[in-house]
Amino acid sequence: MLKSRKKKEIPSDFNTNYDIFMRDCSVSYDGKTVVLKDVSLDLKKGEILGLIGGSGAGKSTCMRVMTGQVKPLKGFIRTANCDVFSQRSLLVQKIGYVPQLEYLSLYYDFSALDNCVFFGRNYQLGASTIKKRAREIMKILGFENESLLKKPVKYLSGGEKKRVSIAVGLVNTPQILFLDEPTTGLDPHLRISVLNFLQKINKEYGTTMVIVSHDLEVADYCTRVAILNFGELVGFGKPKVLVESLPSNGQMLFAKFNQIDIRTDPGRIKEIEGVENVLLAGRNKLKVFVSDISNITPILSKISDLNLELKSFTIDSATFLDYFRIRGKSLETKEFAKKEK
Amino acid sequence: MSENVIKSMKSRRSRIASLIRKELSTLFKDKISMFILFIIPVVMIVTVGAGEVAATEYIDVDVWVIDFDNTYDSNRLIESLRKNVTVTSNWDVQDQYTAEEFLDKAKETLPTTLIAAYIIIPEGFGYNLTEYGKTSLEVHVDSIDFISALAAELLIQLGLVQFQLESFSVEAEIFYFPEMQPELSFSNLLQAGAPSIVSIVLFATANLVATQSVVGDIPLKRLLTTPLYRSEVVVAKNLAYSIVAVFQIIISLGLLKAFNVPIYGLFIDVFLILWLCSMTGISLGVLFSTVSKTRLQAAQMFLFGFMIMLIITLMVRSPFVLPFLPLEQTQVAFSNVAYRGMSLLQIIDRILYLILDTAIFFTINIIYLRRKKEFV
Repeated sequence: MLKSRKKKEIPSDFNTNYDIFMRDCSVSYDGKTVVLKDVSLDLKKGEILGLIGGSGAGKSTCMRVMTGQVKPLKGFIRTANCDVFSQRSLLVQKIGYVPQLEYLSLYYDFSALDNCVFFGRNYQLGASTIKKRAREIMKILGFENESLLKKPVKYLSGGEKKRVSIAVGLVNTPQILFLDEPTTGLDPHLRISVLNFLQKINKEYGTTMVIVSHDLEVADYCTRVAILNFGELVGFGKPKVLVESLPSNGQMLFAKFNQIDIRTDPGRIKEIEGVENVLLAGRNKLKVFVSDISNITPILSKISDLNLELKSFTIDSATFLDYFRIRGKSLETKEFAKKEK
Repeated sequence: MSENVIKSMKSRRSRIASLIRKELSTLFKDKISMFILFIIPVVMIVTVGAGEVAATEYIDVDVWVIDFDNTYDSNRLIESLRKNVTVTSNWDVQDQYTAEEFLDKAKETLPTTLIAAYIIIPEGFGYNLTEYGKTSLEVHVDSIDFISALAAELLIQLGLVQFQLESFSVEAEIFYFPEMQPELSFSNLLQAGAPSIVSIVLFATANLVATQSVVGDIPLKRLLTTPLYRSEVVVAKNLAYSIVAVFQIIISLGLLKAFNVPIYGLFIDVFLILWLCSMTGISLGVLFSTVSKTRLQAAQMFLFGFMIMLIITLMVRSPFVLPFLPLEQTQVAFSNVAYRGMSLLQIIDRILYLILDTAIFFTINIIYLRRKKEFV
């Protein structure tokens, strides 16, 4: 007897302009603990999505749902216009994947070109086509020297290995490139350099990218950012829009003091009427978020009343890090309260 | 066949070929695997042969024979034994001792290591042989002196074989090499050791190296995010190692040829049977590798599995288990083809058991790898 298969309903807002379209996806590995809860997000062609969150936030699970490695309990997911489960063989042709650790994802005894050939052949590409493509990508990734391409990967530096891994992920000209923690373990200079290379690739080939990271620098390179916390999507949108969602459209008071007590003073300032949030910003420096930045004078006088010697102040724009710190803090408090209950 | 099916089959073939190429490149760069695959078999085959030479050529074996029968057959047996060992019989010392006294003297002398063994030919030895075609005799060796005991056993065995050949009382279980006239030379001793080890060494080394094929292929997880299927991985790994096995077999056979070990079977038959032995070892090794979580665990599985097989094959010999034990089938199939000159058709049962074993390991492997969660 034939079983009638229940056809999944396609959400009304779905259209083929999206490279990633995810609606109300929930995941549980053991059937009890929900590791991803009703996550909805989308990404248009050529955009870069940053999946940001702390450890155990559900970032990798979210990416695995997008690549069809994990089946959600419920929800709708389309990646590169493919049903990630019934059209898996088509999907793998359209995506590229760059894992977090190079030593787990590259053949160290072989050169960058050999690695590209090993992986590229699975896409029915000829060795010469792969090598041509690999050279092109590696050039964008800063591998000007041909000898570097032929050197065994084990003799390359950390940053070079990372770039080889990215090149391997791009060898099949994927529509979407998934990168798992591409900047983890790299020094600040290399982090920026890798992110710049990714941006170059995005501009050059129009490759849609999904970057999983707990590194907030990534947000500056992303078209959209999804912030995950304990499996819940707590913020999704363009980084600028998210920052503007802070009080006073993301404008804040950047204040330098002669001397502050970091244990008590930020709390005292926060109690002032009109002050929404206070963040430490270095030695004797605070970022003060107020509900109305145009009416700052009464707040400054109240700060003086607290016997705090204000050295100087400026009105500045908040960064994505500030957004994350404020939202993250409130989430931590919320989560703690939930656990307490 | 539709165009899509043909296209899909071509893609599969291309992916498998690509993975085989990758696997071979990786394998030939791995010095330890190369050592296990090509050096160990050579060393083992030569060592066993040379070890037996040491046990026999350099030990002057003295054996006393107490003949209670004193018939034509018993005398002929003593003469056969004299060809291989130094024999002193009670007839040589009849002026000094009776047979009973000589037996007592032998019992006293054996532990002193002046003699390696004494043989008692019981009364009725010749009669039983003539009437029933079967007879018995007692061989006493000093088991504490292992090397002397080994040498004595081997040389007495050679004398007995010679005796039985001459008296036409052929009993198959005694004749390990029925066509051969044993002589004390390096090649014959190598031949004595080779049947038991060539196939086992090839099986074991292929098995051992293949245990690292999946668990040691760390970037495989990433490869599986490409259009590569898990079943293709199993096929490619098995095929890649079987290609290496071809070189390994050619080297081993070349070695036997170099030492003038006579091979009675057809070269192609011997080659095919060894290749099948290796394939069984490889499929079991790849299965161990898929099931294991670490390289160490895979190596332990090989060791544990091999020991169990060895114990069952050599000691337990349960008739219910033996047909399914690759080690037993491997050894018997190779001995029968190479040294008894049997054709593949004559050992079809052994071949079918080996193919069955390989198919079982292969199928379990595909099913297990498909379900393996670590790759998600």
